[in-house]
Amino acid sequence: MEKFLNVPVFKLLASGTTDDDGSPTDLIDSGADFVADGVQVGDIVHNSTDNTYHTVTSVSATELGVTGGGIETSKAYFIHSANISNSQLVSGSGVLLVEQATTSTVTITYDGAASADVVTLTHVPVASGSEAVRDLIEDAIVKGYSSSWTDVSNDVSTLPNQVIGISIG
Amino acid sequence: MQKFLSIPVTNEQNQLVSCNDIKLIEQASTTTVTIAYGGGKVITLTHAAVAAGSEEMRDAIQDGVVQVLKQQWTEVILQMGSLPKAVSGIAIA
Repeated sequence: MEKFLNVPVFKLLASGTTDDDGSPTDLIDSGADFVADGVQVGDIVHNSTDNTYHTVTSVSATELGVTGGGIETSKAYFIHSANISNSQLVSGSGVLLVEQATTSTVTITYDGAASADVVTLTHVPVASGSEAVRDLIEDAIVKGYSSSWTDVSNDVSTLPNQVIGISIG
Repeated sequence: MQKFLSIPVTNEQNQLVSCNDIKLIEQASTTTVTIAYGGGKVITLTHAAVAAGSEEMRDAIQDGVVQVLKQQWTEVILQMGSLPKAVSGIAIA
């Protein structure tokens, strides 16, 4: 009996590398057009160089106001919508262990021997020590298996910790 | 209980793709969808290009997988006759 979690993944709107020091309040990329990209106040900024997360507070073409101390120069960033998502299926079958691997990742390890049998969900961070997203995933797996066999896909929400990416291996 | 998608491939007959033990389906690029199975096997569907950022082929495959798995056990195959883009090849690694 196959079961899946139907996980909303919040849309990538823009990405690039900062080319000026925006701290303590901004993100600056002179080559960007955040207005045309559809970036809005409240959207999610991931500084992948330093693995920090910020929220957009204001928008202009090449500069964003962001929370959390701004972003320095030469930092890779990804901006995700806080509202627009597209759902991706993640297997709930053959799961051995679900872990809150970091504050911003949950891993699902399956029973295959291959190292590829690990799915990683990247999400807006939980508080240090919290396992809130792991618990939501675990609850959804249990709910899926306690529903009818025809309910193959089961919706799961991780709000307010939006999932911004899912990968395997 | 084995289930398959029957996917039309350009200049070939339909080809069956397993829907059992799928772990994740990804729009890997604008022209490929990958289906990752338990044990590390990966099937790659190569198709006509979707728009950048679109995941419409992944979504169509996901919908097909869910649909065939909720069919009764004697309905082993789901014909994928209305995919948004033509599939030109299917490979496994």
